[in-house]
Amino acid sequence: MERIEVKEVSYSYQNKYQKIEAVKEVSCTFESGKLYAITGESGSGKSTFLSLLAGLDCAESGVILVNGENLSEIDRDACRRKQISVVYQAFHLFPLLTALENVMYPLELQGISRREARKQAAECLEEVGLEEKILGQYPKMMSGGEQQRVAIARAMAAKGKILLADEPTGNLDSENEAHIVELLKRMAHEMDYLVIVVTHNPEIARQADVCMRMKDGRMN
Amino acid sequence: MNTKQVEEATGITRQNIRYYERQNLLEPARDTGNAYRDYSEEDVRRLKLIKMLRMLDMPLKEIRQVLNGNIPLKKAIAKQQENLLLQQKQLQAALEMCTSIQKDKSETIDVDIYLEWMENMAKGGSIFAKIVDDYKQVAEEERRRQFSFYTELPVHTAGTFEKVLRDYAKEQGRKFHMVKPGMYPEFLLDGVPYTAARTFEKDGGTEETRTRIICSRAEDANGRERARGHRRILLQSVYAIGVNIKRHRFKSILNAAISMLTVIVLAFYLGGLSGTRQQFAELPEAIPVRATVMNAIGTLRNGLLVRQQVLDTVYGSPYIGEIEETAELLGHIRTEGSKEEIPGPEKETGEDARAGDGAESNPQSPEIQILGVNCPEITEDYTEEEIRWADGWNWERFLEGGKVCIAGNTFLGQQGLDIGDEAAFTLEHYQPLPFGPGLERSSLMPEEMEIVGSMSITEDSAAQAPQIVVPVERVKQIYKENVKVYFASSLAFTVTDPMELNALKQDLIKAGLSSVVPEMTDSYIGSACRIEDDVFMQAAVGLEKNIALLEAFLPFIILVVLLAGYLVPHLLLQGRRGEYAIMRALGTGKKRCTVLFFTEHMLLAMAGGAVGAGLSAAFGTAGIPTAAAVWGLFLLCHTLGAAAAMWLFGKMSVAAVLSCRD
Repeated sequence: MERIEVKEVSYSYQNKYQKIEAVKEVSCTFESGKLYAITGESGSGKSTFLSLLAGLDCAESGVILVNGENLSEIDRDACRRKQISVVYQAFHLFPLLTALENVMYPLELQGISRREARKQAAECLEEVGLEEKILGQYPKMMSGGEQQRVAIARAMAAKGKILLADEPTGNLDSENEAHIVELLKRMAHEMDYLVIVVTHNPEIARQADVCMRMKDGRMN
Repeated sequence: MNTKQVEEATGITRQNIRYYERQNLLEPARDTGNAYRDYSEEDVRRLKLIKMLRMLDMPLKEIRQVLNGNIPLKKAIAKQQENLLLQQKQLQAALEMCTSIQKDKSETIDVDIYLEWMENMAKGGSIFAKIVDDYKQVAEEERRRQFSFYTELPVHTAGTFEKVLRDYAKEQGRKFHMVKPGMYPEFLLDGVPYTAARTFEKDGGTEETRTRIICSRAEDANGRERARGHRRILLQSVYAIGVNIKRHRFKSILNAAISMLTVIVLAFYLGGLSGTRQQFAELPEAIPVRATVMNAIGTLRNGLLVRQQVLDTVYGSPYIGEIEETAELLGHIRTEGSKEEIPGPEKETGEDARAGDGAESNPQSPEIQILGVNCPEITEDYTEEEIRWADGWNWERFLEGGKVCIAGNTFLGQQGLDIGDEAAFTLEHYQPLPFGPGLERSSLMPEEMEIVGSMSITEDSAAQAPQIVVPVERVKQIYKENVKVYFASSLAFTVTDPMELNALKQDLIKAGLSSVVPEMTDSYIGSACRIEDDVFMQAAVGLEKNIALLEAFLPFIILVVLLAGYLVPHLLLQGRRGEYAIMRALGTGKKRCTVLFFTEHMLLAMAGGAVGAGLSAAFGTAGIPTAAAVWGLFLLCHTLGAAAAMWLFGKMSVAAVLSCRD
């Protein structure tokens, strides 16, 4: 069972012109088996909060415990290899790798042989419902929905049971959006993932098990 | 057929299909392109058989034997039938027991009585015992594959995790060995590999969170490899670098091309600098600086009186080589039988001295010019042909000294002599007047010499060529025997180290030689020295200027190479920020990312630079050592620049790039 505890976490960053307090004293808890939605207007700090949960940024104050471990004290790269995966609005697939090779990447990163990685990657792609013909295609040859599925398959391949999704349907049409949401729900409810989705789409929020709202860096 | 089609054909869910595959009951082929499963008709038939046998409650172990052909199907079915009949008896016995218990009208059931009854029944026909054994077998199999336990300790560190596992193994009486510590440790339990993970559960009764440790046997089925090993990661990194270079073809070629051009330009520059320095070093050999001792006003270079002090200075100088020294004598041939004493020469003074006619001592014998030489080159002024030597004679032996001579062909012809004959001469020499600037002739003791060589005097030099050539060492010996002060008639030399010309001039001045001054009083004394260094100095000054100019540019060139080493990777990497950010987001460590990108870049730079160095050496722009040195210098500057670029590259915010906030 996966669990993330956030206690009084704050974070700010400096852009060209000013210091932005993106996250202010946020406290919350996430558990496996549920689909969480974090909503809010643009600039409310949702994506920054997600990057803190992913360990891509380090909180200035407060504590984030991932399965009891303080995220700021452990190897966050290892955490992203084995526990936490992130998918993005822009999909962020490697443009020069095929769909299969993209999904193989995290497996090879863990030292799995190429042959075994191909096998497991193919299973993940099959799991997210992609046809065989997609496997050998490059991202630019795929639709948005297909790319996002590949991204989710890549997240599954990493074997971690925590999936963070930053506006995963932001670049998709309504039909693909529904497919992706359905996939995320299945991962949470049937595969016991802890799924956190950052979205400003109220429809997605409505389908989530728990909905949290961020405004001006604070969470309700 | 794909998985979905097989599901429809067999009615077996994909989860079960996967389970049977994991149990090695089925191994479908894999599509070589995408690794998707490709089920054959045989696979489908096999699955249907598995389904049928499972519905007959046959254990998987037995089914495997049937599928492998170890047991015929009908025999396996017969055996299963026996098992089912036995189970039927067991169930019947249990049913009867349940009926008996239900019929018991007592308020409380005497458990002991029924247990005793059941145990007696078990002893009689083993009705219940096998059920207990079956449970143990299943539990044991499951236990061996995966087991879990709870721990009171809060497991938050790798050390605590290991301690908890060790304590558990000790309680179970099993041998424990940690293979890879961490929060997902790998360990051996009685030699069997396991991995462990923690989960946190709420205790149903107390609602407190407790830690559960789940240990799973590591996958080691047929055809699968263990996932770890530094060697595998290293090989994968090498593979990844190679693949990346191939994928980013354009950038790779650009990188290598820029490196090649940089090395070519650097080799051209440094080769030029090295070549110019080499030219400067070889200048004395290419443009020899000759010096000639002359009289004060610079009109005479032969027939001089060059003092011993000057000779000692020249021969002792470390800056001088290829010394040509001559000593002139006059002689008359002494005919055979003529023993009469030749009257001493009248002392002639002044400038007429040299025009004097020595034939007065022997009016029938013409005056012969005898020249003492210290090197063969002097005779090359008079003869173009090689000296014809007597057997066993050569220049080296001739110059050692001794009473030997080389005679001109004309002289030999006139005197009827030939190589090997002895010739006797009366000798005279010029010496300075005791008072005044003139010269006087003075007799020397007669000399007999063996003719050991002959030379063909050219027509052009017939007038001034000596008829007899002797070793200058013999002339010095003659002066010594006659107790006379030796003077050389001419002296010329090569300045071997023109860079030390000033020091040489000082030494010559100390010896009494000065520059030629046309206004001085004429005399025969060799008191001046003319050094022909104009051409050399002009060339040397030009080369020095070139070297200074090239050396002045050297820091600038190094700086340009350093900047190129920084700018090229910096610009090329900008286009790969997204790739870097994705790698980091997927858990690739910063160090590994940096090493991969840096190694990829430097490999291309090394290859391009090597090609550039090779081309420079091949086309002669720089020698091989210079080209190799240039390549090394380029790599050093490029590495520093690339390291700086990578350092800056690694400072970017991954989250900002991925969120398109960058």
